[in-house]
Amino acid sequence: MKTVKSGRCRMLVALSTIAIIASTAACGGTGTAPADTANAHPAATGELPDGFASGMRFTYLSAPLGDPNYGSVACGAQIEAKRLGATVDHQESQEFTASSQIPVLNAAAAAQPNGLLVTPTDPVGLMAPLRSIVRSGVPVLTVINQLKDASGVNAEVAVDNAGAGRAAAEFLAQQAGGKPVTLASLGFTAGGSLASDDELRGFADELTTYPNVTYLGPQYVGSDAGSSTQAMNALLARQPDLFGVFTAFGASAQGVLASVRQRQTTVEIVSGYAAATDEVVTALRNGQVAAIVDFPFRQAGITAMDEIARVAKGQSVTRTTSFPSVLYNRASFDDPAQAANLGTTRCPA
Amino acid sequence: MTTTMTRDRSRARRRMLMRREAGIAVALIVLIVVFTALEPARFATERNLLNILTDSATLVVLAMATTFVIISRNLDLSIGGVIAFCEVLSAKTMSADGGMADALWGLAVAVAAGLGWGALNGFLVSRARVPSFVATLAVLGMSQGAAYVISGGVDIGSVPTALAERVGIGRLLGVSVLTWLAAVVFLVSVWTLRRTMFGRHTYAIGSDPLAAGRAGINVPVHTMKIYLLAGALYGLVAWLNLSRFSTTNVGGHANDALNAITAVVLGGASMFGGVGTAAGTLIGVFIPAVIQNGLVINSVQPFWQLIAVGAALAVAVSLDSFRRRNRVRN
Repeated sequence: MKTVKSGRCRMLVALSTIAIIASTAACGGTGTAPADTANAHPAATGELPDGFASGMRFTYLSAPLGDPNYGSVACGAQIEAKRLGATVDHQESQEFTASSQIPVLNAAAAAQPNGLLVTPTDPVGLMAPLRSIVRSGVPVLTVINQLKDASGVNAEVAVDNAGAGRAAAEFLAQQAGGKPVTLASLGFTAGGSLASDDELRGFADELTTYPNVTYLGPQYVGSDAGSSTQAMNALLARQPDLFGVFTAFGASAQGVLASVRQRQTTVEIVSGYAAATDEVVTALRNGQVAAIVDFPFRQAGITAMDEIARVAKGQSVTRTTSFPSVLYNRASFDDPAQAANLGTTRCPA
Repeated sequence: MTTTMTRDRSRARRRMLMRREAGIAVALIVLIVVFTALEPARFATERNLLNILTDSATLVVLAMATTFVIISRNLDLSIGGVIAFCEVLSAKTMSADGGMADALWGLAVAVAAGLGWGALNGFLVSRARVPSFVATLAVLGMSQGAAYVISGGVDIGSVPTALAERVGIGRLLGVSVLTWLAAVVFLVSVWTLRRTMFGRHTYAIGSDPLAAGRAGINVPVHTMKIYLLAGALYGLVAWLNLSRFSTTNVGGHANDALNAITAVVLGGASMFGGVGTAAGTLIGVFIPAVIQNGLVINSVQPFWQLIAVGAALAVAVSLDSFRRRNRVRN
């Protein structure tokens, strides 16, 4: 008798699972970019004529879930796709790993889009899967992050990560004005990604040209706000006169800011990849964060959309398009061109 | 008389297990049917289904290891750290120019490293009597930290091309080598749990460790063997990952343990021990994989995939708890 009950329960589990899936599929809708604060400035458009890719269907695959920068790329791609008469479905993998991204990539390719825009989570691990997809007839363009060998994909739209690190170092060194100071970097994850490794390398390389700067090196902790607060507290206990810190992401900048407020001290904070993070942009406006080093991700999305549309139409494309970093400081709010890219977590499309 | 009763009880238990597997198998089949109906030309293609198998291969191996651990009423949270460590050590011993002999040496190193951490897990749980949750959490930290120390926090890409070509992207009869290897691990797990004394002792310890000890089973030794087996399989997974991605992924295994535990529990195993099957776990691996694949093909926003898998897991665990309460009451 008990066994029969148990069997019925199992059936219920099965039916519940299916009901969940059915409701999920019914309510889901097409993926959209994360929301972005009201943006008074219209986004720039690409070079192709309106309706160039009419009726075409593309997919943008990024990682990890909910990252505002990739949301900005998706936003740019969707704005441009709409103008070209096409659609872009934004899919994300849960983790910044090849093993998490490849199943989503394969599923996206199985849907046979006219082209795939991919932000690779691993410069080596994604090479073979992307090459295989291109061979199957689906054009692929990498966006933001690059592959170690891009010969297997149709084109790449990249950003200069090492340049962003150099810009952050130069800014902090200039703020010191030639005085002997101590700097650190925080919130970078060991083995996290090639992009942040490049950024950190650029930062360290540039600082070697300033003899007045003592660099404590990267403080490897988690990139979340809580870990960054703890690490910054420890860092300030060790080095109370710490002049400045370069943080990997917006979340780590918020963590550092919490520590600085807690200890009622002053530290020059330069945040990487945070132009789309509302809280850090507010801190920049209030003077609590000295600068943000980031990239025009939305424009990169627009360019990527143009390039993949060209590939889908059989036209020639630029193999590699690279966007330099942009340094935002308090003066950026007075520059309409720069201000348009700050606090852009809501897609105006 | 006693023999007949034991046989009847064994049959009843087998029937119950069959029903458990049948229930979740029906769920998986219906998922496949629904997604096929929604996107017949895209979901139910040979290429897509083979991709799902390949993408799930390493998780199948991990989940098989976790099935043994969970049936024995234990947990293993050290998976991610141990895999990262095995990857680093294996990659360090191989060279990009090496052939298959080099690659097999890398496999031996990865499995040996996994066995080492498995032995530490087993010692802490069975001899030092540390609860498995805490013991394996400690080993997670140690192994992950050791992986960072050895690699310097930078991924290592010295993986022989022969390994990547023959195993990572290799195919046999149209099916990926990774899938074949996962199938072998699955079949051996089924056989071990169903047909061997090792499997019976695992169920007995999970059902009631004290009774199992009184019945003459050496519980600490058996627990040690289970963690050694799991460690060896983590080493194998590390090597398979190297073959697939041609690089280590030191910081990328944080969710491996949770994914494996999710598959095992979705597959009908009880977190209270003594219940679970390899076949159920296999289906538990494929349910999230099919959900993810089907929803992506149908352009459903990815956040819904987390909700769907999380809700299915909550329902499965709640029903297991409900069923156990009913059994105690009756």
